[in-house]
Amino acid sequence: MKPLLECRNITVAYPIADGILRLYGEGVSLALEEGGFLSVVGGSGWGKSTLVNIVLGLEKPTRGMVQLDGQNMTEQSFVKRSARVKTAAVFQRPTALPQLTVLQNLHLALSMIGVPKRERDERIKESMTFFGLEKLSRSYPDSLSAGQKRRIDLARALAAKPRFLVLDEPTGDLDSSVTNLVMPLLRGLNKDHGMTILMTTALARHASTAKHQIHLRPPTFHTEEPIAR
Amino acid sequence: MERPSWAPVVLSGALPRELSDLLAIAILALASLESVFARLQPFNQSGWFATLLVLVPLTCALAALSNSARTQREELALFAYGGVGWQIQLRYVVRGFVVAIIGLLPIWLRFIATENILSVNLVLLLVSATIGGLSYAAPALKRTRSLAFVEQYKG
Repeated sequence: MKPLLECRNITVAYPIADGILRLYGEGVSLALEEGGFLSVVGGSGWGKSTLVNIVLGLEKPTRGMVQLDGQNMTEQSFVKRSARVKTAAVFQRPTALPQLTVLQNLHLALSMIGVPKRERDERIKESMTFFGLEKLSRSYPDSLSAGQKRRIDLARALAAKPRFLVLDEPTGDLDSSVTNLVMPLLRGLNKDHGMTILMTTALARHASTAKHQIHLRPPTFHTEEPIAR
Repeated sequence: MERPSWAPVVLSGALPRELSDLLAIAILALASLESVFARLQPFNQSGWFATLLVLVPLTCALAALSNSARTQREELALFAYGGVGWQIQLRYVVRGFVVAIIGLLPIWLRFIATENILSVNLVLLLVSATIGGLSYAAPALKRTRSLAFVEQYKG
């Protein structure tokens, strides 16, 4: 079966004082089949978020290749990748427009991907109910806690009904009660709806939610000339 | 059938609502009122246009820069929602254009009252407002093209 996502020998080198910091050792490779659920596990500063950005097309690797649905997309932007495989992303740092309410943010996100108005309303209602955001619908993101902001991001991503969901430490700011809600939800989205999920985490117990796991290696420091990126 | 559209990105941010935008409108409006009531002759066309070419872009760029922290969050969210660079730039060009148009309203009204709709002065005013919009978008263009921009997604 052809993988939905395939990364081959990805390496990233960051120039720093007196040398370079190299992520992923000799290179990280992964393959995620349609309907798969993969956890990328690693410590802080090991390149989990960088790998997410590379998969999404927000950063380019120093070396290596990213394929989506069998096509080399290493040089393509997030939007072009998403046009090939409908993708939603939840980043480690909450992302919401500060001048819009929670409800307006969700409406904007869905209207940008072209979801018709009536369907938008239904999806948003369903998603907000699931994450317990109904009472916060008219709140502005700045007035919410980190955990509530994270739930908005999750609600937005799920309302988009993507084929491929990418989550960077999705439980980072959540308390245990919400974490206990999110992990089974992700498992359900994958198992019942066939959504393909890539998730990063530093916690082994969260990683075990996924069908498969890969473990990143710690970065290495090299006192040599920086590699051109 | 879902069809991505540029219109929500641009239109949802077209209206100025930040304090810095309102201050920019106030500055431009004061300058406009001053020129209208001082009855500067439209006047001395080249001098008047040169003044606008300095005042409008600088005021618009200052308004955008003084609100960088919030607009950066706006940009990060719009990219995460599936927005494209040019759409986000256009959003700011339109907002800056609206700031300039509202701020220069006294001059517009005077021209409309005293001249043909398609006079050279009105065209020059429109050019000034467009340059104001481009200046408003310039800080965001620089920011989103920086390699450090996507680092903001990381915790």
